[in-house]
Amino acid sequence: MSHVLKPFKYLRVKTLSEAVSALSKYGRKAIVMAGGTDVLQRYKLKYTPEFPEVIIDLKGIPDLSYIKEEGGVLKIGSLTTLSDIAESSLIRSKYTALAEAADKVASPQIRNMGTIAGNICQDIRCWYYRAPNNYFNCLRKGGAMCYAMAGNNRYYHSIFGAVGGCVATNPSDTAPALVALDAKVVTNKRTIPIEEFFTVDVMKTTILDPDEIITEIQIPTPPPGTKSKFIKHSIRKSIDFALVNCASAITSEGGVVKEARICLNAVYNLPYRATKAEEYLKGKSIDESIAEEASRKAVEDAVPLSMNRWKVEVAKALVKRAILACK
Amino acid sequence: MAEFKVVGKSYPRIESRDKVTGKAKYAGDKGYPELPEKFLYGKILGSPYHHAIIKSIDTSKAESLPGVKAVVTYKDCPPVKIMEHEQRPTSPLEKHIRYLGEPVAAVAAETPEIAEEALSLIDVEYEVLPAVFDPEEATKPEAPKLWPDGNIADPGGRPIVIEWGDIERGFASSDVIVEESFVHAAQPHAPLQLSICTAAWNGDQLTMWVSTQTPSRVWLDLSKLFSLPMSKVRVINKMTAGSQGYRYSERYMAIAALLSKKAHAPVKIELTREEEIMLKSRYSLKQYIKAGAKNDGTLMSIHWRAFFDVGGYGHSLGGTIFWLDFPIEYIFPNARFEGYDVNVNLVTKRPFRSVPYPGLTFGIEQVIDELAEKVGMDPIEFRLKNTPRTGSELPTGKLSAYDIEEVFSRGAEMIGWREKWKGFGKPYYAKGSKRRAVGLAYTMYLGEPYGPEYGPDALLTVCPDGSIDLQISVSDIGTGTITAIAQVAAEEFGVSIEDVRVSWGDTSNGLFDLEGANASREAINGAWAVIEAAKDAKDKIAKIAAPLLGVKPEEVEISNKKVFVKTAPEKSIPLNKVLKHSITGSGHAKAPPRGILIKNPVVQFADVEVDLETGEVTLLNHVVASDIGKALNPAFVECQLIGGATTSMGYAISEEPIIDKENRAFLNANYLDYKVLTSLDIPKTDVVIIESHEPYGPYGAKAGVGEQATANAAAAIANAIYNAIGVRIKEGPITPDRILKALGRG
Repeated sequence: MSHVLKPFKYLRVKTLSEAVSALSKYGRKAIVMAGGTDVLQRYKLKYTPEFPEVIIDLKGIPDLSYIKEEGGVLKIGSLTTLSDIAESSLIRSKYTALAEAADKVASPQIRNMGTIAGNICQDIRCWYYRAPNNYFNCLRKGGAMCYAMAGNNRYYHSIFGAVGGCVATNPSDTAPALVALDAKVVTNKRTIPIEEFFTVDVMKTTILDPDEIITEIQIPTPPPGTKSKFIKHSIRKSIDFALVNCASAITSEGGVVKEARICLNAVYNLPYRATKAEEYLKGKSIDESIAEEASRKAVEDAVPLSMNRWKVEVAKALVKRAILACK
Repeated sequence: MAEFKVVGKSYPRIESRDKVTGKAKYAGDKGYPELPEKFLYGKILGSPYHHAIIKSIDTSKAESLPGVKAVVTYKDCPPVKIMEHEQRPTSPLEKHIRYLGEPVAAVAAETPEIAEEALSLIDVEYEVLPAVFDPEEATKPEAPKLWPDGNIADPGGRPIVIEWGDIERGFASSDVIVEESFVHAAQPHAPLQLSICTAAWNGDQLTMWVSTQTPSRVWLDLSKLFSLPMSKVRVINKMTAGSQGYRYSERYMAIAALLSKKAHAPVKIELTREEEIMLKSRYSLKQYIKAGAKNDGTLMSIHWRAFFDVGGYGHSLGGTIFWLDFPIEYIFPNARFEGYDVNVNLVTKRPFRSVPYPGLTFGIEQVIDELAEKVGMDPIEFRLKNTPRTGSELPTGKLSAYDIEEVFSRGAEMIGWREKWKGFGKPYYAKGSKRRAVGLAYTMYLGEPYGPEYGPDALLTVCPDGSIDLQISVSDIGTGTITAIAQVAAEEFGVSIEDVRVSWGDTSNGLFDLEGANASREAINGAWAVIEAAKDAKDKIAKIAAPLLGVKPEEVEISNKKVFVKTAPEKSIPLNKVLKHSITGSGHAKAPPRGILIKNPVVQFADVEVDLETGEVTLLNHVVASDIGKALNPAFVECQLIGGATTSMGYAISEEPIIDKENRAFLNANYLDYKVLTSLDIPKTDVVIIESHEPYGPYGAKAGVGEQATANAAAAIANAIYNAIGVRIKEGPITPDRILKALGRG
């Protein structure tokens, strides 16, 4: 294997409509790129059987990088970098989990390049799927089997079962924060509730159509009394993917939980909402033992693989901490 | 002790300015001395099997691809074995394949893309053989054999055994006994620079531009492979960005030379980052330790068996020197050490900073702590009771300067041991799920310089104006060796370091250095060679100057570009008035006298935090303390000790190759998934340098600075983790899953 990039045609578009018409023209032969921190890996490592012939670079489109609050909704342009989100005082104060999640992604250089849309569209991190030169033609590439299921599933695989036989997890740090904050994904075609945005299919992690581009992320301003938190567990403190992460957003009134949204990621094919924990919390006053019981419920349905039972413990601990942080 | 003018001062490195401004050239850089501007790209086809015989190989399709200039297979290799110093000398390309990724064939082409495509056009038919991976399993008679004489790579196919006394009687007279087994994963070297070389032929003369720590090994191997006199082979080896020990003579270098010869053009081979992680590694090991002590803390007996996976071929530092100083670092009246270097179907293991130490100390230092706990002694007191001292007569000789007590006490003070040590298995801090504790580990690290047969040669020329031109065969792999050696030359002649020019990194001057920058002793070996060469040159100058001063040559001293009478320094003549031509002296490395042991007592202290719920380990603080003798350049010593410890920290908690053997895939051959720690993961690391005078070292210095801190940082971290959580982890690295499993939560 080498570091020689697969050849591709590079289109730097200046407007959204230019991007959409290019996508319509090339269909599945094209891929859009923002920061490029993940997309280019495909061309370098050649882990997929085929390569889109055209890369449509969106970075030249003006006006897709912004953070603003309008009519009770936070609006983040799709090309807004993770650094800008991590540093935004508005997001830090009112949408804390998202700022914390953006801040925990990779390294400063990658956060300076990587965008919010790119972070939720990134490809899975399974080391079988990503083995260079398409070494494993696995289920997610249209192949016949999942190699991780019976192979080495110690770090990057599901503890809550398999969708369609695949146990690769969604690796995004910002996705669980957006789920906890009840975000919506706005595209050139429609508005999608964040929980419906993700999917598991051959060469697909989102429901986006071939000619669909994310333009904005929207988050309703949390009601008064809401706190949110993001926690990440990884082997390295710096530049590492989550083995487990967790975001929570809890609204309390008079010390009693009114509404709770808790989302784990890197533990299932899709961001995993801990609904049992959320239900349990409603109407209760958060304390150590309540949080403990809620976290137990969060992992009640865990079915770990041969090597990742330990992640269940981590998931439980993170849920508990994310709840306590919102007390 | 003598006062020095230049030695012992923290001079910045001579090459630093060039490095930080991008002027410094590394092998393969455009503008590297005499490197051909036009060259072909060499690519190597790696074996897709762990163990196989090549039944047939057809390269015709690859050869007919436009742009391909040469393809080589085992059939193109001369019938000689190279790398003779290794446990299993090899041909650059073999017919019998012993590990995944082993070179099967190679292509030289006009572009890397063409070379890669050509690799995919080579048709190989393999006879796949059963494979064995566990070094203990591989010693059994029924195991698949990698070699006709069996898988034990030690001489005679037998393990290395060192024993004395009667271990059973020793155990019988012990009050407490600890019996444990440990395993530890391999560790890829992961230096900054990739493996790279360019080979070019000019008639029957071969030049190799390469990044290596042992240019003389490369020189010897190439001259042997092509049956050329050494004078027709030239190896150019300048800046190297890190090595960690693996840059010896390697098969890819010989392959580049074979391709270049066949293609009639220069050929460059540069491994990729993925290949680098997959193909270069420290060995993994499995060990069984049983040790006993009296209630008063006296060690009585040890039986230590270790099985090292040395991979398909094994390397020079397995075998006879396997046990190094482990048999003497503690005093055991009864002992049996059994070391097995075992060939298994894994990548050939290469020497790596402190070679077997991190894995062995990971075992023995946990066992020593367990014994101390059982007899109720403090870990420092227990070790001081059982370790040798300066002047101790040991089975292998007399121990020279070894200020172990000062090392323990100053190191303990630096980490805050008195406040933080609460007893075995007891944290000094417990809040929520977090536990913090300190731990320590000791080891004895070899500090002897090499003798002239292994170390560098120096030619030191005193120019007519008294400035110094030094030619020397040392390699500097980024450690500051050249600067340290320039300091020595300046010291010898009482001149400033600016008066010294050092030429190195090119075998065309004929100077030899068999072991090169290995075992962390190149600066000390080089210092001896320079001191000897300086003495030779000074003797010659004294003979010329003596009649001018009206004294005997032995009464003449040379310093600060003057010759003068030792007993009457006011009687002096400037050197430029004495010398009408340059004077050259020669010198070689110098080993201590037989029976003298030069050793570094190395103690490391780790301060860690463990999260009981998530298994996360955070390294809080770290201290490396050692009696290293005189520091030739204290700043370099500090850097080496910190860097050495850092290398061992990843070994302790995060770095692990993940190989799916069934599917024949190395799953984490990239820096995201193979987790080398970054600067943000490394704790504040303090260094305590004890400089006791080593009478058999140059200026009182000892060798081994760069490696010793790698030797036992992981062991100190393992002991600290035990003190934090009260459970021993016997499988390394100590990742969160292993901690949670040990706590019964995984």
